Amino acid sequence: MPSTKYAGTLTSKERTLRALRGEPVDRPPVTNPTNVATVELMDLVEAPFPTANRDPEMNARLAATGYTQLGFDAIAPYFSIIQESSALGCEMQWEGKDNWPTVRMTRPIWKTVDDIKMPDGFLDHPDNWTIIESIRLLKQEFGDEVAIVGKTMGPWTLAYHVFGVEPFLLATVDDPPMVMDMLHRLKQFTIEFGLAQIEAGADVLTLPDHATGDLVSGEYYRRFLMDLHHEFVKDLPVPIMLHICGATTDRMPYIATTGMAAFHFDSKNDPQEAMDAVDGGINLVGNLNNPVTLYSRGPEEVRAEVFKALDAGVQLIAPECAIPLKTKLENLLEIPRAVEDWAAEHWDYSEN
Amino acid sequence: MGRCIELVAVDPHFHDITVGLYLRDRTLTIHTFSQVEGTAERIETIRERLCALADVDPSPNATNQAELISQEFYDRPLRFAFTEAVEKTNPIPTGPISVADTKSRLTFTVTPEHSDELGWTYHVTAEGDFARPQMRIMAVVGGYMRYGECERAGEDRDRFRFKHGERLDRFARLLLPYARNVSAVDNMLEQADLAGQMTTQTLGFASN
Repeated sequence: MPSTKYAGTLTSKERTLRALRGEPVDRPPVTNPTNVATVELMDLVEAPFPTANRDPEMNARLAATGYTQLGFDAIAPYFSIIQESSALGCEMQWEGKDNWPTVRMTRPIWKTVDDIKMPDGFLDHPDNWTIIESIRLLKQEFGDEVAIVGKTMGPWTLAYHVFGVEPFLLATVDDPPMVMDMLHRLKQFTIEFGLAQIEAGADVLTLPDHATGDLVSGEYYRRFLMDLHHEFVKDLPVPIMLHICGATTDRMPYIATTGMAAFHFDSKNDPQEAMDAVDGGINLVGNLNNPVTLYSRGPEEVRAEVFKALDAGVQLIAPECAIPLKTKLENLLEIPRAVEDWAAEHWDYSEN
Repeated sequence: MGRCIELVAVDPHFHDITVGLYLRDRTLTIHTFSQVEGTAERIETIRERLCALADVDPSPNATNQAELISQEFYDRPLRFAFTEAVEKTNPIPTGPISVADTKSRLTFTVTPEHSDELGWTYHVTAEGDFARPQMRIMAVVGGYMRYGECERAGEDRDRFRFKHGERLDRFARLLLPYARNVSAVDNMLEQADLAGQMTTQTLGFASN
């Protein structure tokens, strides 16, 4: 029902939080559960990787560009997935400006469930403190206008980092009760870091837990993670966006029962099939393709993908995962433009 | 500035700045968001190298711009040229278009030739000790077709031409090292595309 052109009536913060609560919005928000910083934006605000992951002021400067330069409705200062693991003592590869810091998972730090212990000063470790302090700075600067999105890694991802991917996955076959024990103990890190970010000013948390479609079945998700994820909703008192990469429609019906505010889903899932799979049980956020569409195509293809997600009913539009660091700005700028144009075409603003 | 056709994330010769090549109409603009002192001079140097490597000419009124001189826009060759202009500092060769093969003891030479029927074509020849040089020459022509959007010239399998029979010697010289080894270049491009991507593969969370 096309009518009056879209004119925003909500702040970015209101738009994002209302959408996550399932309340009416003036248009679907463009959000970023994961990174939208690029190498060009690093130059623009003089905040290059890897330092921007480890210095609160640089981190905040770079994160803010998602709102100030790209026009997204959220600011997400935790760019990578390794801050807590660094604080736990994992061996890190910090890389340079043009690549992601990673954990050397071939050199795991722990072997048994008894190794899992909260280290002294976990939250004060410079790599965790960077995110907490950055959120505090961003809250002071942008707190009323835009949603500040924190991030705390789930126990499955932490298990990959501290035990190594292969040993951990083998343990899920050899000793499932022990794995459940591991996950419950690792949960403390997710909660501690999440609560610290909420206290610093995070309005929303992304909770990546990489029970990915490539490695883990939907049934594994139900057995090992569904209940844990439900517990996070009680433990972390802000809207949570769960992030899992890969083809995940087989576990979406389970995810929809966790009570989380949204599921951040991958472009390997068709938006309409994903909407059908969650059947109204949870909001969806996503699922613009990174490696092809955002990285190597142009604004027209980006716009088509935004429209496809919105046509399917996806409630919050976002890249599917952390964007490639060399993503062209013109493609990112097209996302909010496309959302506004779609809303102007499909939503009736004549009574506003 | 137009649309971005290539980004070099790190300029190894100038403070690791990121440099982009943008196209609007027939004008190329070299741009960085960096404000480091000396950036304008560095951009001008990159522009000069780009104009030496590719069939584009410097814009008369701007030190960060160049103009297409070919009728067509050659995407991949321009991206190769821009990346080399930023990342390399070697002297740009002149004289005959020639390079040693990486898979044999041959040396390839590419010679522009003109005919009324086809316009400018490029003849690939090889010298050196190798049992079947024609196979390698055909592979080089295939490389030009893959990366230069070139076409075979008539029935000959040792000749190619750019669209409209244009003479584009700088592109021909630029592309020869790439054209001689397509599989290695494809691997290089794939690796370059993966850099900076966060995927289950690059994170180590995938089985393949």
